Amino acid sequence: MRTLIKTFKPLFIIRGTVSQRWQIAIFFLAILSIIVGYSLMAYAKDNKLLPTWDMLFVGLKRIITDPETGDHYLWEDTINSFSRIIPAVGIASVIGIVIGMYMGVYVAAEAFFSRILTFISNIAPTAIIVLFIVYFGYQFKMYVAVIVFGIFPVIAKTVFEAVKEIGDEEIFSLKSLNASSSEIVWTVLFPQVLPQIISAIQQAFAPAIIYVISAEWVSGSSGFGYRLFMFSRSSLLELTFPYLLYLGTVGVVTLAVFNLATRILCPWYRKETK
Amino acid sequence: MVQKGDKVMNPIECVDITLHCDNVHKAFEEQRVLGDITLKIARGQFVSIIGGSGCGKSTLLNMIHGTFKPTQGRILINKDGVETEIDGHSRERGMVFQHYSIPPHLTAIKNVALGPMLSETSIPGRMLGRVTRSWPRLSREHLQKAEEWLVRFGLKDALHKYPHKLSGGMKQRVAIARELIMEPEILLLDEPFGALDEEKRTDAQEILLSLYEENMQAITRGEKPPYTIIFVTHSLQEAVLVGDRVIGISRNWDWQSEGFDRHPGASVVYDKVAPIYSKDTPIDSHQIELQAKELRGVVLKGSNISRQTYCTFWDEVHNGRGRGVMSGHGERDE
Ligand SMILES: Nc1ncnc2c1ncn2[C@@H]1O[C@H](COP(=O)(O)OP(=O)(O)OP(=O)(O)O)[C@@H](O)[C@H]1O
Ligand SMILES: [Mg+2]
Repeated sequence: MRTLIKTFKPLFIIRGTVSQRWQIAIFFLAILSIIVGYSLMAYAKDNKLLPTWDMLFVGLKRIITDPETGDHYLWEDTINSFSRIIPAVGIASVIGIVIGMYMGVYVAAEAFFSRILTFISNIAPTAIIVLFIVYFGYQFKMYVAVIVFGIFPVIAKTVFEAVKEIGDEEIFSLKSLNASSSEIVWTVLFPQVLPQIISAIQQAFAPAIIYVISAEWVSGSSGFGYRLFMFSRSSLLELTFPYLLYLGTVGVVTLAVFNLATRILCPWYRKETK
Repeated sequence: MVQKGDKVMNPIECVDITLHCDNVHKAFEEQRVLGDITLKIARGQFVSIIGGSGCGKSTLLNMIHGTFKPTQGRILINKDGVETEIDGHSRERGMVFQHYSIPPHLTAIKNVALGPMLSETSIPGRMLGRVTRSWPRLSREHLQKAEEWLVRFGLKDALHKYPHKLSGGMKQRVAIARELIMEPEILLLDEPFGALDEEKRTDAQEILLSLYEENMQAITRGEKPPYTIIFVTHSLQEAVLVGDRVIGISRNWDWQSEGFDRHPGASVVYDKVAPIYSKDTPIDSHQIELQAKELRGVVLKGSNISRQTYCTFWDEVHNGRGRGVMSGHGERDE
């Protein structure tokens, strides 16, 4: 008993250190508890809703390759949705970076955009998708517009805050090195806040997927949202669940890609928390 | 003070004044921080500034750097014999700060080369220069010059390191190199070694002393001394050791008897020659202690100090002390 307490005690110390091995073990514990929890619910006597594991497994195989039609849902939807998300995130990033950088150095730009960005970021684009459809039709442009509208304010704000963090001393010393305004903003400050910019874009990815799904749900004939709409219309939970599992994995993979980008583009960067 | 300045200017006509603060006052809204500061700093001087915390040392340096404008009075800088009033930041005046040294995303050598790059080229210029191949060549020259400075400052092993791999003292040395590569008329150091421990501080002081040595050599050759430095510190010993002139700023001076009806803010209450040390003259710690003690009594602990009593720098110069530093020719007195 005493040794047991001794083994687990480090886990309950505030700000204590927990070994890498323990951390991995705890991660698997989390996965295990999800599996056990789900099983308890799916195999309960009165369950009519949740698919069992073998149903899910069949479902997974079916969304990879449909045995009847030969369609590759996952693959096709990924291509369709990402061909909307990536250009949209690109456009939103450019807009957000330009606005954020200038807000960070010009008080006038801050005064101009600050409230407006907060206002726009509180309008859920999902609530006004119909407006976008009326304006842009059922086209590529519409999906891009919904995503851009939804995420550029957040990117701009994050970039702004990162630039604002930079002390006056640095700006003044750059000025006394005869740097022009655009050199200060783009030659020095931009690479300096690039890690925060990358992280802002990465964080905008999850909402971007939500917005594209909503737009496709309402209007689409292809993409993640369209597929989920089809599944849910016929209550195909054994297809929906593996599909969501896949979307979650996509999120984890994009995070890894962005972290790698930071490591390559900003080798000087160290997260403060480590 | 003005009248006093005039009196002492006459005997040494060849004094080359780099910086002239002319009756400078500075207030932030209602708070009067600095009052009636008149100072002439000659080319080649290393001036230490001492003062209680919050008395306005950084404010004075920031005004000289160009961040603030004086509420009253003028600050003039002399470049190639032409006096101009300071207006904003410019490459003639470099500054190193206590809490900030260099941007984190550039290696030491690129940080030092940043100044020449920003001041000699522009964004379109560099883009065009990539095509015509002139920019890479120029950039190599900048990097080479930067390397020379860093090697001089004992940072040969740190050339290609990012700031997070450098110690505080190393970062401040990079920051000083970064300003000096611009060949400013005056270099402003605001407690650059304030956060360093004793040993690192000594290293950093060595660097300033070696710059001073170079000034002396230039003077011996009959050339203009290349470095003029104003150095704020809260260590009295450091002030006396590094500077060849020590200035004390304090709020506790007898402003009433000088005819002000409200406290105009802190002013210069102490201005004297400080002993000079070079690599081969041993440091006389007794002499340093003596002056440090005087400084503590006057600047930090004093009250109702008359500004005339301890502001004897130009009189001392007139009487032959410290002349070598100021005159731009002749040898040092010692
Ligand atoms: N930008 C500013 N706006 C308003 N007040 C200021 C500003 N800068 C400085 N002050 C005030 O001026 C006074 C002098 O400040 P300063 O930083 O120059 O003192 P200091 O001598 O450098 O102090 P320290 O030893 O702490 O570095 C302080 O009371 C400070 O509050
Ligand atoms: Mg200060």
